[in-house]
Amino acid sequence: MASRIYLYPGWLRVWHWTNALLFLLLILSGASMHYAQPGGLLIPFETAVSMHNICGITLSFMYLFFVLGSLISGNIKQYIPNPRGILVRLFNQAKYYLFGIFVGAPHPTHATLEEKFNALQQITYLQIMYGLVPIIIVSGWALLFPELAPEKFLGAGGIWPMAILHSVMGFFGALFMMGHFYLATTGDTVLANFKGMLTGWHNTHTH
Amino acid sequence: MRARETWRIIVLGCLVTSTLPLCAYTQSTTHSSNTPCEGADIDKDYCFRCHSNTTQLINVISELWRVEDMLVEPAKYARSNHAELNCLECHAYTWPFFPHQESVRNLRLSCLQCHQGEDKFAKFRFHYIEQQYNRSVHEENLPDTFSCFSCHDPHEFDIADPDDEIRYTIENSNRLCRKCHASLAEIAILTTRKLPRLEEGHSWLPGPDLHWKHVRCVECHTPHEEHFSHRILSAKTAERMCEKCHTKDSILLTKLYKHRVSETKQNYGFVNMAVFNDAYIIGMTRNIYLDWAFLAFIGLVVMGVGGHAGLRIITWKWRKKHGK
Repeated sequence: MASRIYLYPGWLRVWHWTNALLFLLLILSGASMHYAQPGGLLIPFETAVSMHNICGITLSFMYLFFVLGSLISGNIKQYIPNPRGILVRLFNQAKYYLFGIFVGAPHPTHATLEEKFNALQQITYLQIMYGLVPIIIVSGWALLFPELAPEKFLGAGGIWPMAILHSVMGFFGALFMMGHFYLATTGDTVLANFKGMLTGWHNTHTH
Repeated sequence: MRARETWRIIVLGCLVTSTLPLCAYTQSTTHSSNTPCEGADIDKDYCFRCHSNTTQLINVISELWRVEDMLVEPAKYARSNHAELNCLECHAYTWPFFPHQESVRNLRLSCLQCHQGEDKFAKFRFHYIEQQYNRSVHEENLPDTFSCFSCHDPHEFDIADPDDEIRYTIENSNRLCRKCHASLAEIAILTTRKLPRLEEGHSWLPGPDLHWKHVRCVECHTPHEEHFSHRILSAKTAERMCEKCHTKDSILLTKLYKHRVSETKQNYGFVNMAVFNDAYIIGMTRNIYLDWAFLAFIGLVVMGVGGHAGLRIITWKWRKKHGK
């Protein structure tokens, strides 16, 4: 029997889609700056700089909004995996994605109000939202205001470690975006998870 | 007024008395104010007695005559490229009396009077400098009031040393431009044209302060040529394409960092090592290993996702048939 639960409150959905758009624009503009060349195919450098700065600053404030919202609503608990049996849950989820999905095996985990994410999602989202994003924001601000960075670092200019860190985190962010977008298609239907993140409602199956 | 005139006579008398040896010297020679000067035995310190702040004499003189634009700092002169030259080698000495004749002030000195035609100066390419300068915006707009000396004070000129720290090279170079362009009052002395403030003129540039700190004005305001050009470009014709510098094959490697390029080699995959210790320039400071790793990982993920999706599509009919 199919039923549905209200999994994603309004503030979370607004934050999610705003973040998605910002991430996309940041990746495009960041790549345009990093791989800039005259007559290149990417966004013109000058435009990319403005776009990256505006989106980066906006992302910073959206992140603060997310953290506050997560703390106030208790949503932060969703990102902390229960260590008991986690390895088994991780293995089962990975097995589903690598094999089970092709033979129509049932999802090993079903989303509930208490646990929206499977173990793989929890580990990944925890690292992204509380690891990658804060690092990329802090390093980004150091690039925007280089006077905040140390004058020298290991004998070289002090800004370059911030730049390397920012680039590497950006790269991993791009990888995450691709994987996240694709895995969102592994719901009951290809568009089920997208609809859920738009409406807030998630279809469940009572067995 | 009478007191002022009295002072003038007293000072004049002191100065004339103290220069009697000079009078004897000049009266025994003939010299044209328009020909390059020959060497003289007059000590620089003699001139610095009035033309510097090393004595109190200047305080007295400046009360009577306008000398503020004739001051030279002896310490800077000693560090300049002309330090070995006696003042009289450039400045005509047909002035046995004080104050000097007005014609001395108006003497049209030119760098090329000395710096042309001699093999020892050939490497500085003064002939080309003159050609380039004649096509610059300064010559175009201020042919009568602008000259080499507007930027290069011959009493202080010290050619940039390739071994200097880049930030000093940038500071010293930009100071020359900012001397006028950062001061509307200074510009008003040269021209009646209304020029925008520096910040307004560069409002299109992201982070102008950062640029002024890390690159010279001339990186954008001179054409990209094999040798440094003195053809200063106007705001309209100056370089505005960001990608000319912010790229792996940056023009900065042939300009600001030209002398560093010979030392450049890859270290741990970092190209453009010329800038490594001085600045991070987006698009120019790159690590080829990281760049290739980025592209390789993205390629792998795209292939993985594509393969996974393809397999799902292929097995979809089978799953549908079996009710899965």
